[in-house]
Amino acid sequence: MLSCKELTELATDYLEQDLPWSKRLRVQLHLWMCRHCRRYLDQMRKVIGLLRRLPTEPAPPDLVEELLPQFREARDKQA
Amino acid sequence: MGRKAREKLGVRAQERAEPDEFALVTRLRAGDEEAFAVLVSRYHGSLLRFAMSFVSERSAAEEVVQETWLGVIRGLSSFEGRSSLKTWIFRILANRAKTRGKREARSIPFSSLKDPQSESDYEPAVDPSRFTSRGSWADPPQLWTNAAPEELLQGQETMDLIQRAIEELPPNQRAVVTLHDVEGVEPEEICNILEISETNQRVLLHRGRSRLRRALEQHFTKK
Repeated sequence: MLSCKELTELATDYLEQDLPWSKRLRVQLHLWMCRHCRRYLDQMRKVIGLLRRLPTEPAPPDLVEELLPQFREARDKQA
Repeated sequence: MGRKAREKLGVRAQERAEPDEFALVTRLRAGDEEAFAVLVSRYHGSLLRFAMSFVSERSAAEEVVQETWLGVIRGLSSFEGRSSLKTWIFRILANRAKTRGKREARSIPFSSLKDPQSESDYEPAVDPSRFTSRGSWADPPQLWTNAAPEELLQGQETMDLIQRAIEELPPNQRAVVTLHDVEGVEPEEICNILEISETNQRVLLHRGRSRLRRALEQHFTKK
């Protein structure tokens, strides 16, 4: 039977569905029986959920204006 | 855009790309300035975040992003659509950042992790002292909060905490976690951007996430 320690090392592969079916089954069986590992996996899911929600900084308002001369130059060269 | 043009840009990239990416690329190639503004506003923040994996100073990261935009402008006419536009731009940034690292005689440790599972390089997801000799939990994970956990986990404090924890990750873990979990880049594209193997990508993702979980655990359970 898979140990809790082993499960913590398989957590990412399990969540990414990268495990072969036999190993996946062993993880699922372990999770069915072990509430500590269910909590561990739930915490990993929370981390991923937070990462997905991190806000992205907007571009500075004058950046496009700064880059446009180069964009036009490249366009004119192309033409 | 016609079928042949779409084929030239690559079907796989089309499947993964933003829904309007082909239209955007066509407009960019035609020199449409509005399309360029859309491109910059769509990806600038992501590029800045990714650049921070390579350089610690924000001003240096801003310079790398600026150089990346110039590289994008120069390279647009030769973009072949073998990857998504986003991957292509991230790749340009990674190359610029690595060149910068070499110029400043700093090594960027993406390929230094040759065999991440070797004994000397072992980094457990959880402190081994928390397990019994048979590998069962001796000190199991605790509930992170007692009251209104969901609300707390969605609060600004938690977002700040995870941001700080990302900043403390080793650069290679930070780059992979940023690309995979924050930006939603596919694993094979991450390998392409960072020039690492699939195994390394998986190991770095797992270690990065494990460190972040430990950081949140320390905060929420005061271990």
